Amino acid sequence: MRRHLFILAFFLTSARRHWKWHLGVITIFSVVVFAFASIVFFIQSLSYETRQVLSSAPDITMQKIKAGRMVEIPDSLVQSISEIRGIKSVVPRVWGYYFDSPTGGVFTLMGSDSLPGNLTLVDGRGIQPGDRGIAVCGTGFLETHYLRLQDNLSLFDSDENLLNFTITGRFRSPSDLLTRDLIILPIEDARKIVGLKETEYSDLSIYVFNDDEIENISRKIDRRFPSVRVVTKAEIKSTYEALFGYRGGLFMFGLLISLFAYMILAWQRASGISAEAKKELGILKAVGWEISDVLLLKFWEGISISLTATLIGLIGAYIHDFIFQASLLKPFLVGWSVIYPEFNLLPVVQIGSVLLILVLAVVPYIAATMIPSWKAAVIDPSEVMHA
Amino acid sequence: MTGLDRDFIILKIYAFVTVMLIVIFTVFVFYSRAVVSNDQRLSQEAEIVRLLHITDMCVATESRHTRHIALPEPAAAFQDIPGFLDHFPTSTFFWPPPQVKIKQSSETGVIGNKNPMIGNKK
Repeated sequence: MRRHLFILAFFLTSARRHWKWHLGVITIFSVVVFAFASIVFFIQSLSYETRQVLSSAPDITMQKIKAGRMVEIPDSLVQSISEIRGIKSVVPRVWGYYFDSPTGGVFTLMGSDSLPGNLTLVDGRGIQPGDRGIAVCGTGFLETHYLRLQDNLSLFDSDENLLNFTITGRFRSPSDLLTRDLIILPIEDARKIVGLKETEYSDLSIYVFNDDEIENISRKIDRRFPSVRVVTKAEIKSTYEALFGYRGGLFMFGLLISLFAYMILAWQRASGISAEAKKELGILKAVGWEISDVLLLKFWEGISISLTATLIGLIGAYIHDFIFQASLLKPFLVGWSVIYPEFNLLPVVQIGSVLLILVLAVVPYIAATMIPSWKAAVIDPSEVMHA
Repeated sequence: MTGLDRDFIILKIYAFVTVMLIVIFTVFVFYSRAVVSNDQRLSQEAEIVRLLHITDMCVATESRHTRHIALPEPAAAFQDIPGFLDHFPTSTFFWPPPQVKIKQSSETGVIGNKNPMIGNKK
């Protein structure tokens, strides 16, 4: 133990002499770890929230497709679906997209008659059966139009007639990841805007009694009714797992960028050490150091630099993601949007991911430090010092 | 002060900095766990999902197929104007839902769904 301490102390004194170089390596290394860890924490938080929230999604969602396009579902189909054994309820949904020409944004417009106002994420009052001419909006619509509660909201229906609504409720910003672009209207009003007849719906949400029967019932619906698309809750979850998982698009993107940066760093280390460093190793060997001592020195150099840089990168990533709300990553998901998605990220940090980042950062760096040093350490010291 | 003493002072400073970094990160981890376990937001959001029968999160809003990634329209890329190719930056990261991917069935040897445009024909 004492030997290790002496060698580490020797390295730190040596590092103080070349502090600019070591500071540079730690800075670049920290930035690489920061970029990678930011992506990992970001998608972990999104993934966790998505998994928890979408556990209440409909068991089965059914849409009608005609010639490759989504079309309205007639009332008669709702009756037929309801008669399938094992189905608890069939809830027709009325929803669509609303292009808002003044801002150029596309909002998601939904009809609902059962949005109670006592939810903590809803300010004002919700929508009850029989309500007409009122709206509950997400923060996206209110911010882009500078609107507040009790203000008027004008929307064009499918025949280009202007309809007026009073904003009686709004979703609070903590739920932005779910409700940012939503406009909720009473069902009959939503039907007018979307352009549906009284006997038509956009799609169906189907709930079943037994979760184990979801697959069977979805298969039954799929076979019995022509031109329908059935999406189960498990498929919705797997869609988001494909997006946020370790093989998902966001993760791969972050991984590739960090990997390239890291490869450049490791390559710089592994491509050979400088003549001065070789000379230093030669002197150490000449004064009695053995190859194992030199390797131990390089091991502690690798550990101290990579551990310090990884910890700085991890702390930086945490502050970036959960205090500054991933302000550097958000633009990737904004794209051409008018309604910028807002994320109030929950600070989800999984120990497994932290260990993964530690292993990915520390082990290759130690290898990249020790291998060239081992090559240099086996050379005869007089040869190195004369070179 | 000997050279050895000076070396050990540097070692102590380094050890202090490293321990501080570890402590700061550990505090962050435990604080996160406390925040997540006490957070009421997720249950409230789940309630909104249950009431409105929502199927998708509002992760990106720029295009319909990334706004509602679980329920994309089968021909979304060409629906707006002729030659309207998918040009949305988020499409780089958003992969198609697994259920609309054409896959080979090992049991039947049939390639693809009955109609992949419609979706999940099992």
